[in-house]
Amino acid sequence: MGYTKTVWQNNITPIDETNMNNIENGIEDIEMQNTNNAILLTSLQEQLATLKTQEINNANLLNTLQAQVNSMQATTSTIANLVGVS
Amino acid sequence: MNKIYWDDFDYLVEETTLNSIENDIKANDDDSFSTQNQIVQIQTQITSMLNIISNQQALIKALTNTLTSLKATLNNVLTHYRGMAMVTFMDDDCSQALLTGAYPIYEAKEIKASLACPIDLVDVDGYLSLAKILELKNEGYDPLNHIKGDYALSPTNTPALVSRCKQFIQDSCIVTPGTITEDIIVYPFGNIDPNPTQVANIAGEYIKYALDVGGTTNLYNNFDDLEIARLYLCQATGMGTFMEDEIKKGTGYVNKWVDHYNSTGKWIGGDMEWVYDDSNPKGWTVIFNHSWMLDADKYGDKIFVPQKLSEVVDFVKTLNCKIVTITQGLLIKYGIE
Repeated sequence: MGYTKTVWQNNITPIDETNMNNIENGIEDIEMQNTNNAILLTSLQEQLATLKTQEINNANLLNTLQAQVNSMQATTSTIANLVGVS
Repeated sequence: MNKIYWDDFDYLVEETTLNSIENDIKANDDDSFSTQNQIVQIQTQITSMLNIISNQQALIKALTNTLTSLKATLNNVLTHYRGMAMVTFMDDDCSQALLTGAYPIYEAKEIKASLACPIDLVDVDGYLSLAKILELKNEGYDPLNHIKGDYALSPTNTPALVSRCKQFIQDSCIVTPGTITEDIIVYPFGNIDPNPTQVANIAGEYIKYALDVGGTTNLYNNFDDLEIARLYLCQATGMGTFMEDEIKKGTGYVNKWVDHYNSTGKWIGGDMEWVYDDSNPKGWTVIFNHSWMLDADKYGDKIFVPQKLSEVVDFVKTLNCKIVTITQGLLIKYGIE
């Protein structure tokens, strides 16, 4: 990962196929990477949002279930006492 | 990016320009790397979130299993009493008058009653506050959703009224969501509407058990008669009146001729007597009163008389039956799904 810069020096670094294509390839890689990153980032953000919603829904469901269990335990106990069943 | 607009002779292909291009490419490459770091961070968050959700799902499964097991236990307990006689005491239109009327008697006699609380009048002057209703619920009383106010349920207003009141009792924790109590409603005037059957049908889309306390129509469970004998306790009723006989009938007693013999076996006469027989059919009797109805000039002999309630409770306690709340009675009668 990472672009390797050419350090240009007048009259020393040749403006040749290798150095110029390094620039072209660097630009092309970044463009591709940015496009891919943007797509991936959007997708991941959507996934995260979905998971957060699911987490909240699960938390609400857990609260409801816990309340139902508490209520059911109390009811079972009360009715068991009422009808004389231990 | 410091874009270079190449033009003949404006820029020389020399060190400065070319290094500027190189630096721009590098900077953009670094930006891309930073975005990738963001991606990694989000992926870490997603992994963490997946772990949380996985734990939640395990808990949900465990609680669901507990609930299923408790339901099975409860249904098993209920089978011990199914088919036996039940009596329920209920304060109708439960207002603050309950606290000085029926409540002290319930407490003194150590019984728990159902309270038909006008849900649209909670926290209104003269009616119970939400805090008080929740306190009574915690004491073991059975607050029920009662449609009250000055309107009758009609085909037009039923959906809004029933669903709104049901939502309120859920949101305010008067009932626990998912329990049988949230599916009970007490509505007094449904039978007054020209279309009582239609009203009950519509109400049945939102609730399972509708107690038509104030009318001649009995109680519905999606139109199935709940087979509840409803008796209004007031100055005109109570012990020594037809009510006493009705209570006996509902608890396995029959009024029949009984022969009497002396010590030598000689017949000395007979009499009609109430005799308990375990094989007799037993029902569910709901004895309701209005603690708020105290003005004899206005209501005549329909007023609430504490002594009457006290006597009836004492009497019921001597019978072979169980005093249950509406919620408990429905659980005993129908079990829990």
